Amino acid sequence: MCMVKKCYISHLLENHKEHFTIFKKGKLWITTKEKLKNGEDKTIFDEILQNTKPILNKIQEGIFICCSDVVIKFNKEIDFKEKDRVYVFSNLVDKEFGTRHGAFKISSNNKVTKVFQKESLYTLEKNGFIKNGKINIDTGMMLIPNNIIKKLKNIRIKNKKIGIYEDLTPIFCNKNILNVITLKKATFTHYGSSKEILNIKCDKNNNYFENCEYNFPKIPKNVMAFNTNIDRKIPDNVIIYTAKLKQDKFITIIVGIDDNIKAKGKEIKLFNKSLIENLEVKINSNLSLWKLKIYKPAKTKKEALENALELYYLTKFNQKIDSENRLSIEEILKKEK
Amino acid sequence: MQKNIYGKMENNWDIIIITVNNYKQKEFAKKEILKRKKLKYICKDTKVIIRVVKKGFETGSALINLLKK
Repeated sequence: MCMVKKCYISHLLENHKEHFTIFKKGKLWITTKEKLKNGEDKTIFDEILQNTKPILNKIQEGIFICCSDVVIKFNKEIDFKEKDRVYVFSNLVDKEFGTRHGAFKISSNNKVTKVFQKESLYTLEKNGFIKNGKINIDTGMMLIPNNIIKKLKNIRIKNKKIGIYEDLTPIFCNKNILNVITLKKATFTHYGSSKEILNIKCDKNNNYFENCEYNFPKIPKNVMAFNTNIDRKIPDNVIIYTAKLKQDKFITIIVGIDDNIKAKGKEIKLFNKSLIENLEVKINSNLSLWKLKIYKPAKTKKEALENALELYYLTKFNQKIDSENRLSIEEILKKEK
Repeated sequence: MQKNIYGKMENNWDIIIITVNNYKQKEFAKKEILKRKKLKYICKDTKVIIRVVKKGFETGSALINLLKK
């Protein structure tokens, strides 16, 4: 084993399908509003490194695990008083959030006594996770000191699959070595969904354009656009992404800002409209918006945007969408140059 | 001693491990890390490991395998 002095791990929870716009680079390199000293855009990676600086001298040698889409502004007040313990970082939020995150039950001396993953409100209430309508949720950050890492080495990997939160956190909790630090408000930024990214990066019209030219008098609202030259009216509340394909063709993906790319079967919605009646292909229970062949390639960027807007209006007005020569988001990202 | 924008060298991480979803992301991450090393945003002595993991649950396993090396 390489003797870890201070190791920072940035990791992804899953293939971030909801973030197809950054599929080529990964969440860690999403640019923020800030600039680096040399004028380049700061990324989440830069923010994380900069924001962990106040605690670097305080932590024991070991591993610091962190999600690639979470930035926490650590302040100097944070202290790791007890040595040889695993530390997790928590946010105190309204109880409803507990159903969508890992949640901690905490004792009066800041020890984690129970961990649940995305449980129902009923289960969380019944097990005493909720106090005064609030719940401690997991930020995904964890500090594991070296002496505990040495013990981890002996863990046998069944089927070579171990989840950090599903498997390791309960082990630390059961061994009674899990401490929690509850963060103050406004120190936690989550770049989890497209809407969250838009809220963080938007301009005064609540839009975000990257590598785009915009030449149209009417400004939309709640739009994220990438690699697209916009010279016509585009609807509000959409994400537009133009990809250059390997055969020198272009294709524009358009989805609603609230669409769930991972929803399957009957749950699939585009621009908040069900597609079941409109498509020639049958939607089975395994099919998601990620795999649905609905986008048409074109010879130019301009034509690609026209095709995307045609799809928008066909869907909006419940018209039939043919299945000829169309690609899915998954195929487009694979074929993108 | 070499300094960077984050402070003195001894303030930096000794190892940074980044997990990514695919090889396109790995190539992108390599370029970004190289850029930051050249600009001295990351210490040249910081070891950076980029690992492709297909699913989230592989991250814990990848971590433990790295520790066993």
